[in-house]
Amino acid sequence: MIGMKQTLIRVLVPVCLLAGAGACHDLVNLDEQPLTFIDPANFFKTAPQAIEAVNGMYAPLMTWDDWISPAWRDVACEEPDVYCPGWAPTFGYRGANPGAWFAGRTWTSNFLVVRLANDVLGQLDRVTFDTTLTGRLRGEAHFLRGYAYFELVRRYGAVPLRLKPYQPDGTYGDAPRAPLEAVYASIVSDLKAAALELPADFASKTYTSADRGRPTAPSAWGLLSKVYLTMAGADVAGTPLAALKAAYNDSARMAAQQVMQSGWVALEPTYMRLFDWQQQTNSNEILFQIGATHRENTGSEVGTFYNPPDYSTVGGGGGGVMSMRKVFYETFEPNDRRVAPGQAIFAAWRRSGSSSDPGTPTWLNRSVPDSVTAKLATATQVGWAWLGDDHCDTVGWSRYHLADSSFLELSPQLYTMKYIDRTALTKSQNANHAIVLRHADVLLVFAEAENEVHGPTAAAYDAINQVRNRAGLPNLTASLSQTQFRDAVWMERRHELYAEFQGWFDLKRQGRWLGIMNDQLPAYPGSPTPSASICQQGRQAYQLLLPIPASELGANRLITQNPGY
Amino acid sequence: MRRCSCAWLVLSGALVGSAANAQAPTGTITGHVRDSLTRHPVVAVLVTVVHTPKTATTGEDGGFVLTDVPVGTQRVSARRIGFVPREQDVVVVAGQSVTVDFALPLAGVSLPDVVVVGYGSQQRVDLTGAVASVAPDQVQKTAGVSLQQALQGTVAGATVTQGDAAPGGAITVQVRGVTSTTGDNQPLYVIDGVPVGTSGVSKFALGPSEPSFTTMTTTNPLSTLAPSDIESIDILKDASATAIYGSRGANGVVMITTKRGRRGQPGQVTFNYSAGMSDVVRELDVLDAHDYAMYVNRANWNVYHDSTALPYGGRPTSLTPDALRARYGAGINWQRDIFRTAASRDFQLAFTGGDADGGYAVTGNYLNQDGAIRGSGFARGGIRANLDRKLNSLLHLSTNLDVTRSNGQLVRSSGTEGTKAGGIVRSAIRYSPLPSEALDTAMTGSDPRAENPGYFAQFGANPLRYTDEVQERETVTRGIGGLRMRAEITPDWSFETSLGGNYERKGVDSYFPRTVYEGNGTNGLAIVSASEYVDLVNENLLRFGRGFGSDHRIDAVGGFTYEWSRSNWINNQVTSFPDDALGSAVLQNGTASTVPQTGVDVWKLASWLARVNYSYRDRYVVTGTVRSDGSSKFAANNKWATFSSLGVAWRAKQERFLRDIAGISDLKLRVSYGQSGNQAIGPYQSLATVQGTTTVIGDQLVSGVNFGRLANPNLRWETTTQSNVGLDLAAWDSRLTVTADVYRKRTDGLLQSVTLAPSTGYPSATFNSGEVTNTGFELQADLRVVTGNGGGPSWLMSANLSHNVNRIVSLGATDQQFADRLGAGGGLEFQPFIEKPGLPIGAIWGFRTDGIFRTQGEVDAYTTVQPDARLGDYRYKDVNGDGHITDADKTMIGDVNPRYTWGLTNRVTVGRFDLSALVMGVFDCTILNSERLVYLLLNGGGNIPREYYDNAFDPVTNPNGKYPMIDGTRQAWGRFSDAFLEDGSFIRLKNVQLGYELPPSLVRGVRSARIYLNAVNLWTLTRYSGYDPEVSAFSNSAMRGVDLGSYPQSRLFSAGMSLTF
Repeated sequence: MIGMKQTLIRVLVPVCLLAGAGACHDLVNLDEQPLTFIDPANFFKTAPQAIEAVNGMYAPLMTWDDWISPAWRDVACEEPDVYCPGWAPTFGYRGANPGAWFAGRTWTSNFLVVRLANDVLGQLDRVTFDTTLTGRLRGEAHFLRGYAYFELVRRYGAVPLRLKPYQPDGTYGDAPRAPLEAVYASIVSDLKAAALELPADFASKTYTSADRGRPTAPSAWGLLSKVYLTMAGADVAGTPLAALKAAYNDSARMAAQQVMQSGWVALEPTYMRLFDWQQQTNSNEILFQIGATHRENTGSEVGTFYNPPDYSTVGGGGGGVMSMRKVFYETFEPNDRRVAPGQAIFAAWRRSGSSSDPGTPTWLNRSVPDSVTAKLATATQVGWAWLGDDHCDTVGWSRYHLADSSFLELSPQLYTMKYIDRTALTKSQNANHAIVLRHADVLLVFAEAENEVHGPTAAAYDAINQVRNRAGLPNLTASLSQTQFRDAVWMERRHELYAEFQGWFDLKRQGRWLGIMNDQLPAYPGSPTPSASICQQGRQAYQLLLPIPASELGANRLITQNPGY
Repeated sequence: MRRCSCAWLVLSGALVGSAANAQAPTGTITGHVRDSLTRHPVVAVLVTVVHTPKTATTGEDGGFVLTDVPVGTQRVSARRIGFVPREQDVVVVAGQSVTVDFALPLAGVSLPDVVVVGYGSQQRVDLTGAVASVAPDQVQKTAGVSLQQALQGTVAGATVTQGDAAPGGAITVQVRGVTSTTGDNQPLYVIDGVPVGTSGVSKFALGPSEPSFTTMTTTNPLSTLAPSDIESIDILKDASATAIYGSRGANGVVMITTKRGRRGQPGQVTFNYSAGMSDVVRELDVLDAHDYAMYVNRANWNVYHDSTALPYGGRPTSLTPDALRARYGAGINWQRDIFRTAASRDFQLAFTGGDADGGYAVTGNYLNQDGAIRGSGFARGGIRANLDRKLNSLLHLSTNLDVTRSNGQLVRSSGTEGTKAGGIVRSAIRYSPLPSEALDTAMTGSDPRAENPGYFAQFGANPLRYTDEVQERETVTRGIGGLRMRAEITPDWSFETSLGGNYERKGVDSYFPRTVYEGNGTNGLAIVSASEYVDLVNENLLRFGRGFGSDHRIDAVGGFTYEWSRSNWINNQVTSFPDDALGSAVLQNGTASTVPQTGVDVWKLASWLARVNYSYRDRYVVTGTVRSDGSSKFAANNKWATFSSLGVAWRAKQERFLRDIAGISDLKLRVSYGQSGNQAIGPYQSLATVQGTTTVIGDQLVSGVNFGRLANPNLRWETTTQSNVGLDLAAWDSRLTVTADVYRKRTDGLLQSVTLAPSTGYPSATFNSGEVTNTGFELQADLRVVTGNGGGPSWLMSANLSHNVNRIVSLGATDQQFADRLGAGGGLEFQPFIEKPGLPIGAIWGFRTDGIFRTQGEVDAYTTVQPDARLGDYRYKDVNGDGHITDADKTMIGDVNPRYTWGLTNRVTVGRFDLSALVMGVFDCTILNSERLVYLLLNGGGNIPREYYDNAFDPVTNPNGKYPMIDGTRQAWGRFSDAFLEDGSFIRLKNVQLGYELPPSLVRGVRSARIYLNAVNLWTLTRYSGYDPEVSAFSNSAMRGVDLGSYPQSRLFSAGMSLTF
């Protein structure tokens, strides 16, 4: 038998070792050392780090929650000028119930921008390096926060105002809506701060030509002019802002003048150059753009909806969904470069000998030539859409197999060529930038505001004529009445900014949206009767605002749904 | 870490050094164990010297050797699964060998008498917790490829779901319901004492919102383990059993023990071979060429009412449906093209044996299984070496090493992209049955597989391109090994130290050629990704076992363990290849690439654990367990947690008043209460992050950073508090054994990804809030209907039944939230899974349909309620009666949790023949058949099952049709409703096996030989309209029971033989 003492030793040795192992410092050190991210406590110490944090603010803008897809899609079909096939408004964003996944994607992305801007502003308050740089960075943050709230307020109405970095709380983020006037006041205050702090151009206050793409002081003034114009419009009906309509129109006019007097902001000499993705970065007309590149998920898929069929990528495919309504096309004046066939607008047929030889496109002038129609009588259709007379139901390429074994492909629709990048590999690699604000827009804002304040003055005429002349059009008819001039500016905005997602906001601002979408008002100035059926579902008053997304309603107990949803 | 390794070495050295001192007078016991009826040797009987740690197991000849047995009178027990245990007393004389033989009668089948519990094994009679075991022969019979299949239908309380029936595909196991709204709620798997993790990050998802071509196919982490290597599977269910695994025990623990050689067993060679054929059980009846053309025409007619616009027969020179039938007959049946009868082969060669001082088991296995869908398959080869050696009277060393390599050829059976890349199975149904040339006669004579561009635009590539031209290969290399040293310090005390390792590398290489949708726009798409996982465990355990007098006995184990784990992953994506010839083998041939992505995770777990088992007169047993876990995953304020449990068992049979009642062989009552945890979050979740990102300024990509996550310094594990009451009953000489358990699990501090108000700018944050309960009962009963006494026929019946009710009690500050959406495109953009107090995890939320509008009058009368009402569309119920169909009318329309699951096994032996059959069933659960979202569009956009065409409403031809009217303008259902749900109950004849034991004299030199025929999934009774009711496309627990066009279950027939030399 083993002695008691020996037993004790034998038991104690492993017990001590066990205890020793447990006490081993490395073993009980259970702190985590992150390997794939940085501890925030170790960040924001240097100027390059501050610039990186500011760069990070822009990242949500070109994502699948924002300009890659929904930021333009939720407004695209809310104007009479764009033909949206039957499914686009229902499958897309209009009439969406708040629980649908796509409802509120722009809510999420814009509030993410707000949060990132709040984070940056909060951190910049603590640092003390180079004040010129921190001023500029603060300006960028104020600009982006103002931009994001402007996007939000026009879509959702009064929204919660969050102007401080979010700290976790017991309520998981409950916050009520701020009054509409408070939201607008915050936007104005942000953009004013941005206008004062941002560099005037790309050669001052730490900006160089490498910073092209970032906002400048004229960007802030230009956006501010549009904010003021909106504050003078129908969006703010029923709030204290409505009483100050004249003052806001005047403010819009003066803010726009800041851009017009900047000295370097100017219209591009040719219209379509604006949409040449290789030129956009250095354009002096574009005041704010959301950049895009050929890297995956950094480009908007807008082209796959608006482009002519098969024009979206290297491999073809996509496009052919949204087109310009024929009735709208007919409102363009002769020789308007903004609808020049083959340059700005595309419609074509092509004939080929085999399925692999695409043939050379031949331009159509909105109707199929008789010679082609004759051949179609004996042709077999092999594509999926077919040719119909009703402009609402015709979409896409139609592909015919002719009796002589060749193919004929028809594209009778009128597609804009603003979003073409035939070097893109996939739809999210389209390098066309998302243009948020450009000088022509600001000139028309000025013309509109000037007309409201002073009537159709020479300055107002000069602003609209700059836009018209660039499109190859003569000056606007002189001596229009204030109302006529107002309509002329509206028409000019539609012609100039077609498919640039301004229509819904313009119509809502002007209080015309419901009437036009329900065919109760003439869609086109001068036309005595309402337009022909626009082949879209009617709109109702509650749809002036998008639904607050279910995710917000579910998590924020202080928010209320927009009425009607 | 370095300092600690040293400690381990010192520790080991100290023990080795002290070995020479351990000498005490001992003797040897040898003997044989035979079946009391057939007199056949019984293998794998656990022979124990009672009240000592001495154990041995019998070899193929039934023999055993127990060495170093202390002298004196010793009681020896012999126990084996399926037999009634026996005990005998024997006098051991120093330095001599004494013989003891046993004859064991057969018993019920499902109660092995020794069960593997955490950090040790226990006699079943001493258990206070709920532990279920799977008979080893059941593992061999039903586990075609994966051992998780062996749990299906055989274990009460374990719900096994085959998510994707591809060879090697993922299987989920849930023990006693889902406790958490996050993660997959899988039990902890422990193989030979080593907890097995899976790669932390195995595949990379593209974006949060867009179709991802890389995420859907998940594989089974345990598919690398060969079932033939399994000795036993034990499932720890209640707190008394799982608390020893502390913060990882809440979802149950599956203990897997592999085969080892027995000491003193003569060397033997076992060879197993089986070959089989599998095919898809069910084919859906879809429209043939003529009816498809009729259907498409109808969809157009109902919109345009213009016969000249009809695609088939209306437009110039197009063919009418009748002409199509004349020319093409029934057209193409894509299901028959992609499904096949697939072969499988399985080899195993095992060498086992041992001498007086040790045993060895060296096995090799190879499995090659073709999938029932063309292009899919699974192959696995592995080598295992389990060695045991007694170094001296003090030290025992055992090692195990398992290296396997598997290679899965994957096919994209299901997809979350609803339209053109929807997966093979979905497109086999939806693809046009018309040959390409039917749409375009210029295609005649060219590649018969070439799609007409019109087809490609509408459906993407045809299914055969996915089976034959898309390459997707997953290789898994795994090594599990360990070195364990046991020191028998005194007869009462022993000490064990071990170092275990687990390594896995998973690589996925895929290539999508330009002939399919994914690679079409990009001139080929190659995705090469890999993940690597390393896990090291060190355990140091001190054991004590001693009887005090004849009444008291204490068995205890305590110790310290440390685990360290690191996983990393990489993903490369390249496009623009000059041609498709080389696939993903030469990435540098591609001219465009996405920036590679990588990630690294490290976590650590340090634990103290102890368990004491005290028994009084073999009548009252108390088990106390405590484990203290320190996990790096948790926040600074909550690194350490202690979990404990208490179990009490009363062996009533030992009481005087029951002892003499002959009808009751055994009766035991068990009560347990305690806690275990769930750390179902990834590392670093408690820390705030500054994350790198890229952004575009102008046309330049620039780097940027974001503050990416909110810090939560209070983050901790979920705690599951479980109470369990159980009864073990054996009656009539153990002809009937019953185990019944009732339990209640309450999980609080739910690790929730709480959806924050998006206006905060944060999508979600991980918090501990909320509470979930699971209550239920389990019943397991075994009945020996015919005893087999006297060598006659025998019939054993084994049944189990489980019932579980899951309920979310609270979500903390959140009122309700939704799990992720079903998919992107194709009308799949719904988030139907709700999490809401009062409802179970897995509740489906949506509108109730109330028939369809059959007349314009019905439409007009209801347009104020449902503005989009149309003839032939669904009418929705205004549930809240406010006169409008709004989101407030959504309600719970389904629940994916089955109310009951059951299994019934019958085993019959007649002479040398044996037959076993397993029937299992799932009762009362919902399947979300996402295919119905597509079929019920009835818009002529692709083929559909005949059922929907035949029963579509038509005001003239079919006014009583139950499905909506065929209508070419319908693009997507705007509302998620009960129309897309089906009852998922089923009864299935899961497995049948007929075996024949060849007479020993038949083959010379062979000790035993058995041949058998086996069938799996032979017959199913269900009302489910899809391929198979056993389906779950997502591994996320919150989204179970979704059919996204998953790989269907196969029926497998195989024949095999097992030889022992």
